[in-house]
Amino acid sequence: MTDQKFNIEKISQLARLGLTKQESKELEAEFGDILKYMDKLKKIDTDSTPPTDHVLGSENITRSDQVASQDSKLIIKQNKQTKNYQIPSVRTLWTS
Amino acid sequence: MDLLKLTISQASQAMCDGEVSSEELTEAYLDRINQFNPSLNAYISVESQSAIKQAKSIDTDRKAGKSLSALAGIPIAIKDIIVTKDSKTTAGSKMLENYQPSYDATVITKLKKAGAVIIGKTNCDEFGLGSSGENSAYGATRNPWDTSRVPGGSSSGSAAAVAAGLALGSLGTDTGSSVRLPAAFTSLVGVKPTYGRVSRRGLIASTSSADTIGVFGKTVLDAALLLQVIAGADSGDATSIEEPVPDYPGASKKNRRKLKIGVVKEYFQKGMNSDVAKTVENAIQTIRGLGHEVVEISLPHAEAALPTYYLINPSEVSSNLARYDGIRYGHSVLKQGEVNSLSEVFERSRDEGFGPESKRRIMLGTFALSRGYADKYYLQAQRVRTLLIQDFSNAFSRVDLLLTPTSPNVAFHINEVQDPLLMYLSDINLCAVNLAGLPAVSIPCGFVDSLPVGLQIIGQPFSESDIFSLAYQYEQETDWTEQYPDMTAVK
Repeated sequence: MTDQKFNIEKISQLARLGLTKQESKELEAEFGDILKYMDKLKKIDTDSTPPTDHVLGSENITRSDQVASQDSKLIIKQNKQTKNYQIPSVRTLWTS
Repeated sequence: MDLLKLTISQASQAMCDGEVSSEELTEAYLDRINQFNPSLNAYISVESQSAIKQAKSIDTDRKAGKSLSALAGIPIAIKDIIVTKDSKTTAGSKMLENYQPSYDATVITKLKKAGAVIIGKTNCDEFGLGSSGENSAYGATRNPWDTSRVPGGSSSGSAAAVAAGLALGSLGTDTGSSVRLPAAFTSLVGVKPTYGRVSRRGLIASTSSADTIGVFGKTVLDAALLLQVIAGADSGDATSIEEPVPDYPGASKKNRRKLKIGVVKEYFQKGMNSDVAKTVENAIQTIRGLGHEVVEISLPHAEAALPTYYLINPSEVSSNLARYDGIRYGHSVLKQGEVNSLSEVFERSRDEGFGPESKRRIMLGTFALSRGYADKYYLQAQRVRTLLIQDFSNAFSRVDLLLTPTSPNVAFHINEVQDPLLMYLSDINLCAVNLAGLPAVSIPCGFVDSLPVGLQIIGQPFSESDIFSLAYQYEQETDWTEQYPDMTAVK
């Protein structure tokens, strides 16, 4: 898993985390060891094992969404002057 | 009244008998906090005024003959990662240095309803990320058993406060070890309940699939009394689970059925302190002597728990800590004057607000979730997590409870462990329990070089009563919960 170098600059951009040069240098050095340790997991056969969603197997108590069919042409209209598409607010749709 | 030795049950009885009022008790604790907190750094903030007000109100109710709970008038400390209305909640971070929550967490509402006196907010590793109590923006907490050592983390202050007699009990949180490890290092009973047993509404999130709110007490009964009050489903927390709450203090004392108990062989690993191993083996002998059947048991994937945890935890942490962006709340460079771009607000606010361990986990988690790596790291960890859960499930088809050492070592010195990976290894016997959502307790089981050692009892989901029962039986057979730190050595 550690075949590719940990790109500290790219990851800090993704994390929106400004790091000083010193911090970046230290983290890069540490991550080599940490990711090597994580490589232990690579050896475990999980081909037939599903990932865990919930530790106790709990499921949502809410019902599935119910889709109400609407004709999109009736809902979305193009403004002739601005050429923008206008959609009514959710509140309007909900009460109509 | 010796506050170092006083238990919740004794204090409650003393108040019922009119020997002491809650106001007197609370003032005595506040004095003691003034005396010892400068050395221990267990509290980040002390709520003197509101504590006295609450104590007086309980005293009035008592005089009026109102029926009161066992926690009424009892000074309790709260880990500063649980929100309290109108009083600062920092999560041990500079990021939330001035954060005043607008509501009480459900556990706080429940404690207040039971009449408990919230005496202060305790120090902890930033956002609960740490095993020693050293990763706090407000300085390291010190262990009352030896102030040159850590009390364990991340609920470091909650443990140190109770062990030093600066509160009668406390709330902590346990995501990978954070109640049980400090309980072991400070000779307390520390409870990590089943995932979903206690509402997390108002707990500042770290690892949502593993976070739990737990309790510290000097005795099993004290811990059971505390859990009794905070347990139960909550409409304000969709992850809390509808499951009846049994009578934990009652179960501790009454449930005497003979149990089949497994000793997990993988948890007596190479490199473990041999004196700690001997101490834990003695405890297991004592339990056998109580008439329970003790067998050896294997959790085949035990070794994989730590790397699994340290992928899932940073992944969820990186996501949960994304909300601290310098815009909505928390530390922000916007207040410091000119900034040139929105990304600068994010990046600088987060760089200034977060401490080194938070940054390390955010980076690790962002990497483990990033494109091209998420399947290899995060998803593989979640698959191995399924195997770990299956291991426990197989074990519990053979036995009622499991025993392990809480930690392979005693408390280490402050600044002794500098390598983050070595620090992560502190959680080696504990984090699998969180990955599987199981309840577990650490109870005092002896000393090595005058430092406390803990025994971990793990149960099936919602088997807290069985765990308390065994812990109580063991406690009655030994005197480890009646040992106290030498406070004359706490300077």
